[in-house]
Amino acid sequence: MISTSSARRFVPSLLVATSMALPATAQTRLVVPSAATNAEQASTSWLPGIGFDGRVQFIVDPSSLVSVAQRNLVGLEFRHDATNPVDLTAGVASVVVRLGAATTPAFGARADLTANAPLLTEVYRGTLTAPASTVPGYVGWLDPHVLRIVFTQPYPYASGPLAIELEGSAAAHFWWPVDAATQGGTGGFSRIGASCSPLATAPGDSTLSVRAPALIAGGTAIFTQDTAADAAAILLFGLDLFPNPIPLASLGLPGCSLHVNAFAALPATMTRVDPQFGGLHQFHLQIPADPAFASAIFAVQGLELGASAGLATSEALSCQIATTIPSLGIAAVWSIGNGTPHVSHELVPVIGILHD
Amino acid sequence: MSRVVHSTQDPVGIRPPASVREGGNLQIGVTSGASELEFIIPGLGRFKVPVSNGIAEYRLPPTVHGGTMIFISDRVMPFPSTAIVQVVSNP
Repeated sequence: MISTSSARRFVPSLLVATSMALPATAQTRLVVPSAATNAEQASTSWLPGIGFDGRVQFIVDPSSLVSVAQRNLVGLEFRHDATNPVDLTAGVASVVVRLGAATTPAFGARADLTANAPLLTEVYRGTLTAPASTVPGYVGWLDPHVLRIVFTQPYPYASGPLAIELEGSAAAHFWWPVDAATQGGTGGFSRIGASCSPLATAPGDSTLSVRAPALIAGGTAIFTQDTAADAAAILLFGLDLFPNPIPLASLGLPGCSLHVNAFAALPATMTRVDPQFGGLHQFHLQIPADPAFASAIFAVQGLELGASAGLATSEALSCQIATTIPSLGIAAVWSIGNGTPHVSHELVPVIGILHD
Repeated sequence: MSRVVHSTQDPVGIRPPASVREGGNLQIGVTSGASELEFIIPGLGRFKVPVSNGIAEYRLPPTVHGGTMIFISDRVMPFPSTAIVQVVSNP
C-alpha cells in the first residue's frame, strides 16, 4: 500500500508523467488477451487504487508477447467496461507500476508475488487519473473511456514470461470498472444436503459457496462460509461423499449431517464479522497447476463452532475442476489490502500494453 | 489460524442505486469479482442474488413495502463492499 506521505512526495513527478500522457492514436498497442483486442469481453473487474487498495500482478505468457519482443514497453491501458450500467466517475489514485521477468508462465503462477517475479523494475510511480466516462456501450480504446499510465522509464522487453505489477491506493475509491476477459470451460459444483447453521432459517438456505469459475487447475478456489457472528469455522475437505450422510443429532446437532468423507480440515484464511451479515470466513484452496487435476472431483463441508449457538454444519459442495486448463495466456495474482493473495485464471482485466 | 480483518478500507465493489420503488427492479453493478450478492430484507430473510456479466438484478416482491431497508453485501474478502438500499413507496 502506498502511504499518503509517500504519495505526496511523488506528486511533482506525477504531474509531469500525467501531462506526458499521449493520445491513444500515437502509440502502438498490444492487447492481452489477444481475443479481446477489438471486442467487449464478458465480465468486469476493478484495479488497485480505484476499487480497493492493494496490488495485482499479471503474469503474461511469451506467446502473447511475440510482437513486442526486443521492444520497449512504454505504458499500460485499461478500457472501461461497456456492460456497466452506471456512469464512471472521475478520480485520482496513487499507483506504482513494476515490470520484470517472471519465473513462471501464467499457468504456474503462485499466490506469492515475490516468488513469481523476484526482480522487478519500477517504471512508473505517480497518479493515475481516471476520466469521467458515460456509458456509451463498447467504444474500444477511445478517450475518455480509457485508463492510461505512461511509464516514466521504458521497459526493454526481451523474451519470456513477463510480470506486470500494479500497486495502488486512493484516499477515496471511485467507480471505474474495467473490461475483463473470462476463461471458458470452467468448473462447477452441486450442493448436497442442507445447512443447519442458525443462519439457515428457510429450506434451501445456503451457508457455503464457491466461485465455480475459479475451480480450474492452477487457480485459487475460494470458499466462503457464513456463520453466526461469534462463530469460528473450519472447512472439511475430502475426495468423496459418504453414500449415506451421517446424522449428527446424537452429538447434539439436530438437523445436521456429515456428508464429506473428510481427510483434512482447513482453517479459515480470513475472517470478518459484519453487524448485519454475521461471520464471514474465507478458505483458499490452491489447485495445483498440473493438467492431471483437470476434471478432478472433491468435496467440502463447513463446520461452524459458535460460542452461543453451538456446533453446526453447512451443506456440502461436490466440486469438479474444469476439464480444460487455463488458456487466456495471462494470470492475475490479487493481493487486496492486507488479504492473502490468490491466483485468478478465470477472470483477468483486458490490458493494453503500449510499446514503441 | 484465521486472520481477522479489521481494516476500515471501503472498496467500491458494488454500485446499487440509493433507493428502489416498491415492486421495482434493482440493478446493481458489481466489479469485485463476486459471483453473487447477499441480500438481507427484513421480513423476507437472507438470500443470494447471482451476478451475471458484472450485474446483479433483483425484482422486489410486492410484499416489500416502502420504508424497508435492504442490506446488500458482495461478501468478498478481505473488504466486503456493503450497501443499503431504501425501498420507497409508489406515488
